[in-house]
Amino acid sequence: MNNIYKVIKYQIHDFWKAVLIFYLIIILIASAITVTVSVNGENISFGGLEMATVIFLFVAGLNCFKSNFKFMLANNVSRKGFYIGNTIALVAVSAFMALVDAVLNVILNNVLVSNIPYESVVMQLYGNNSFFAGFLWRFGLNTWAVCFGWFVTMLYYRCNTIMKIVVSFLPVLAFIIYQHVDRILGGLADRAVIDFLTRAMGFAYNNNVYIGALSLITGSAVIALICLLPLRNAVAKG
Amino acid sequence: MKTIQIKGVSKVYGQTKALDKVDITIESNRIYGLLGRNGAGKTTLLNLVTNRIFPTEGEILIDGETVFENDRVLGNIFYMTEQNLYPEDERVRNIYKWTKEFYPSFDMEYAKDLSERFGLDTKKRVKNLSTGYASIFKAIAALASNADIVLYDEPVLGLDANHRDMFYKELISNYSENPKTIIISTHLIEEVAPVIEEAIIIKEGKLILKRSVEELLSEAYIVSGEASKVDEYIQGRKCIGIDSIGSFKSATVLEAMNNKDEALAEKLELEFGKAELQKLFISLTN
Amino acid sequence: MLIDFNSEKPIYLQLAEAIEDNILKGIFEEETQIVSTTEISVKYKINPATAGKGVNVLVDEGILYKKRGLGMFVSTGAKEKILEKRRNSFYKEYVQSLLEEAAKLNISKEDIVKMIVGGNGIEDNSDKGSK
Repeated sequence: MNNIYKVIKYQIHDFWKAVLIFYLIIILIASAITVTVSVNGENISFGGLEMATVIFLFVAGLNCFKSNFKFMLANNVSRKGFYIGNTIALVAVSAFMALVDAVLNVILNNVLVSNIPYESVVMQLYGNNSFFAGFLWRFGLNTWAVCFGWFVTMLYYRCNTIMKIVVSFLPVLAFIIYQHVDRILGGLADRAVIDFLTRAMGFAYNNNVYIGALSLITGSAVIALICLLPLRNAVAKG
Repeated sequence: MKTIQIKGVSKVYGQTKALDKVDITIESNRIYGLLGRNGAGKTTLLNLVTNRIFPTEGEILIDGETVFENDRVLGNIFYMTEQNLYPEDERVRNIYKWTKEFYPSFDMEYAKDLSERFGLDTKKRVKNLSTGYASIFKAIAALASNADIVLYDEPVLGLDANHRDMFYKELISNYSENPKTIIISTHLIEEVAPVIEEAIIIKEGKLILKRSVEELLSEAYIVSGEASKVDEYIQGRKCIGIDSIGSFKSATVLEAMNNKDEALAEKLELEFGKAELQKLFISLTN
Repeated sequence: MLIDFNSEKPIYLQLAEAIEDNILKGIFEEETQIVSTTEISVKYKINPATAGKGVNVLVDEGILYKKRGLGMFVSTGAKEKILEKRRNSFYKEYVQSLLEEAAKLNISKEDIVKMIVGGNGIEDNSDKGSK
């Protein structure tokens, strides 16, 4: 299983430059905002930079597959090896970025002067600024985003043209049907969904960050497992 | 010792049977030619051997172990494909670097040396290589891989005559110094005939022949001379190819070389020559 | 050394003969190394096994021998062996076909002798060396 290590190495090699540039931009933006705010001295709050990380990771997930998988096939790596290696690489990047974000959060909250209130998403949602809780939750969300991106790209990879169109419309169609069903049930569906989300994300339990983190991590694991299905029979395309 | 056993392998795509119950044993340290017409199933076979696609029935073993999702056994095979599976934006020298990661026996010095001799700029990105150089770069990776089993699918596609010459010479030199199992799948039968030891001929998904080239060629010969005299000679003999220029004719006769009628040929003032593998191939696969 | 890929004669036999020729010419001297099978196979773009087969023919006849780790060497007395071998087949390979061809062209045996001694009315070529 030596190959798994090599796959991880390759996948990370593929990501790291993008991650570096990403954080350089984030730091630039954060600096620019703090300078602007301190100059203007107004009571503006800004926050939620970690949402940028989530989007970045979703895109990373979208890009982790096609060209990389073909290159792994070219080097006679098994799909099993690719799957495990890729999963570990994605989780590692998620964890790393969650850590960096948690650190950034501390910096933006404490190191800077207090008249520039920065509120991370975690703070906004849970009112909790604990480092570890924040890291865990961000790690959960990151992993969820990257796995979802991977899932979407795998789905499209395995679909032929017709299927791609169908799959693209499916979410929209599903949503329309859901709205319809919800109306028929007199808002029951909506309430069920909101209820589920409130519980899963820990809001229902005294804004428990840990429950939210756990749900996100579990969700990622489920998506990652689903990714295994289209991978098992995947062949080199295009 | 690296031997490949292809046992009862079939590959079906919808209504098409790309390969039909193929049984082949590839012995180690030999150069095989995998020959067949377009669409015969050669690439499908090579893809199956390297776990790129899966058989509909049958199995493929290397030294007794199945290739299916088997990293260990697959690490001993290097496959130069016609298809480009390498990341387009990556530079050639980086791809060599990564190939070495996955194939520890990869000889980087040799790859660099070959690249220089072939005139390949390793700083170039894959997407900027011409057809010929795209083949060259993949061929160099295969030559330098030092894998126990190396598969080449149309290795000289797009290569000019000089580069083709260089490729065969490198292949032979490397094979002579470091014996390995090599399979070359190609259309260029005459070019590859002196290089290969055994010919494996696939027709419409079926294996029709696996014989040493020497044996194959001993079962046919060319008789040439004045057209009418040649016609007289080939009366009652199986003839698989005729070439004529004016009144000069040469016919490929399917008969053991040892059985040729020298006396008759002398009487008719005809000459004998060695059959062309290509002519044999064409007659077998028509 | 030239190989005719279209000749009926198997490549490995042509190789053996070519090596013999080189020994006779003194290009490969006795007790020196001949060119390696790798070099031969690369030069002619033939399978090394074929080159090896050609070399082995000569090893079997005692014209070449293998020095472990070094390669193929020309045996002492190889030249003589080759000359003798060729002298024995000289009649069959050259004289017989000469006589047959001459018969076709209606050249008498006396004419042949005249040619051998004095050439075809042109200068005497008998000292140009044997093949």
